[in-house]
Amino acid sequence: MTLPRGHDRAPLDEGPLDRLEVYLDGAMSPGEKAEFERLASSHSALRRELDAALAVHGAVRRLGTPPTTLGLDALDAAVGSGDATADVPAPIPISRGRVAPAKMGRWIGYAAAAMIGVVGVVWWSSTVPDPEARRVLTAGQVLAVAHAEGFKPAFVCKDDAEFVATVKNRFGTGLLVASTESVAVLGWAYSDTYGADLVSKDTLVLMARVEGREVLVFMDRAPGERVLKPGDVPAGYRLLRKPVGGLMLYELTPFESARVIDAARIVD
Amino acid sequence: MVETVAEKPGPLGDGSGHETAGPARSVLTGTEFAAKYRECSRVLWCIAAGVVNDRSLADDVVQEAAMIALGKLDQFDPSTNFTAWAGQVVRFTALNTARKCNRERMLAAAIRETAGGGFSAGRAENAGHPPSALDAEAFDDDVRAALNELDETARECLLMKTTLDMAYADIARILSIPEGTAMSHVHRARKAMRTRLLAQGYPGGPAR
Repeated sequence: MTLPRGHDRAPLDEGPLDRLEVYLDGAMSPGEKAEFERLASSHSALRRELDAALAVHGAVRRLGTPPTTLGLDALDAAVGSGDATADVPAPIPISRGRVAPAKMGRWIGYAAAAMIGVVGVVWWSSTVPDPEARRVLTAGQVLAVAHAEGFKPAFVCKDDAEFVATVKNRFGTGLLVASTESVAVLGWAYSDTYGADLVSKDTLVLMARVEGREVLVFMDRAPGERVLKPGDVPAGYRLLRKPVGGLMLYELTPFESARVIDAARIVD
Repeated sequence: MVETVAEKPGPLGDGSGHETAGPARSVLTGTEFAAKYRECSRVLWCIAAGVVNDRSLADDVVQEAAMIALGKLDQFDPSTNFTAWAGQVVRFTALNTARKCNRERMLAAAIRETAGGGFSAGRAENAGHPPSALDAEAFDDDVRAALNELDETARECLLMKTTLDMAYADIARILSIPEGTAMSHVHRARKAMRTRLLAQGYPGGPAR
C-alpha cells in the first residue's frame, strides 16, 4: 500500500483504516503486516489510530475475557440428581384454607371453584404473557417478611401424611420433614403472596425453629427456574442446599450446618 | 449431601448417567448436556457479557441459563448447533437480568435523589475533565463506558472476536446473523471506541 507525498500529515481516508481492521483481525500475511506497520510508523494519523486501536484491543481483552472455568455447580448438582429430563407434573397450588364446603353445597362449591379457576387461567394468560418476567424475591426478603409477620406460618399440616401430600401436590414427589427434639417444624408460608418468585412461582416455604432460632426452608424442583445465590443471604445467616429426589431444598439458617433439610426424606 | 451455597463447592454430579433412566425427550442426556454446555461456556459468557456488560452478572447469567436450558432440553433439535441454541437461552436470560438490573438502578437512583444526590453531585464536578494521567485504571473505565455505548450484538461480536479470537463465520453461526454483519459489527465497534477515546484525549491509550 502506498500513500501520497506529504502523507505523514494528511488526514486518513478509508483505505488505510480498512487495512487497519484487517490488521487487527490478524488476517494479514507476514509481509502485509510488516508493510502496514512500516506505513503506520511514517504516518502520524495512522500511527495514532493504530495506537488507539491496540490500546482498546488490550483493554477489551483485559476487561472482557471470560473466566477460564465457570462455576456451574448448580448444573452439576441438578444433573447429578438424575431428574434432568424427568416428567414434571403440572403444579397444583396447595389449598389456602381448611374450611370444607358444606355437604349440601359441595357441588355448587366445586362448580364455583372451577369457574374461578377458568377465569383465573384466562386472566393470567392474558395479563401475564411472560412468567419469567415476574419479580424476583431474595431469600433475605422472604426472611424479612416472615419476621415482620411474627414468624407465623400461614398453613399448618395436621399430620405427617398431610405434609407429604402437600409437597406431592405441588411437585409430584412426596417428602417429609418431621419435627425432632431440636427441630420444630412450624408450617408453611405462602411464597406466592409476595407477588414475586423465589426459585419459581411454585416455591414452597417451610418455617421451622431450631433450638429456639428461626430457620426457613425453600423447596422447589431441581433444576429450578432460578438458583439462589450467596448474595441473597442476609448477614448472620448461611444458605445451604441439598438435592433430595427430584427436589432442591435450601435452608436459610443462622447455624453452621443444616438441621432441617438434613432430616428431609422422600415418602411415596 | 448438604452444600453451602456461598462456598460454591465442587460438582455433585457423579456422571453415572442416571438420567438415561428417564423418558428420552432429547438425544442429549443431562450429563451430555452439562458437558456440552461447559465446552461452550466461554462463548456463552461473551453473549451474556455482551448483553449485561458486567463480568459478575455474566457469570450469574451463564449459570442461570444452564438451569433454564436443562429444563428445556427437550426443545433442542440435535440437528442444529448446540452453542447457537444455548446462546439463545443465555441471551434471553441476560435480557431479563438486564431489565431487572435497570429497574434496580432506577430505584437506587430515585433513593439517592431523595437522599440528597451526593453521588451525582460528585460526578458532576469531575465531568468534562478528561484524565491527564494515562493510568490504566482510568483508561479501562473509559473503555468500559465506550463498551456500554455499543449495542448488544456489536458488543457480543467484539468480545468473541477480541477475547476468544473466533472466526467471523463462527460468530455469525452462533448469533444467527450473516458473516458480513458480524464483521461490520466488530469493525464499527472498534472504530467507534477508538474515536471516542481519541476524542477524550487518549493519544493511544495508557502508557505501558
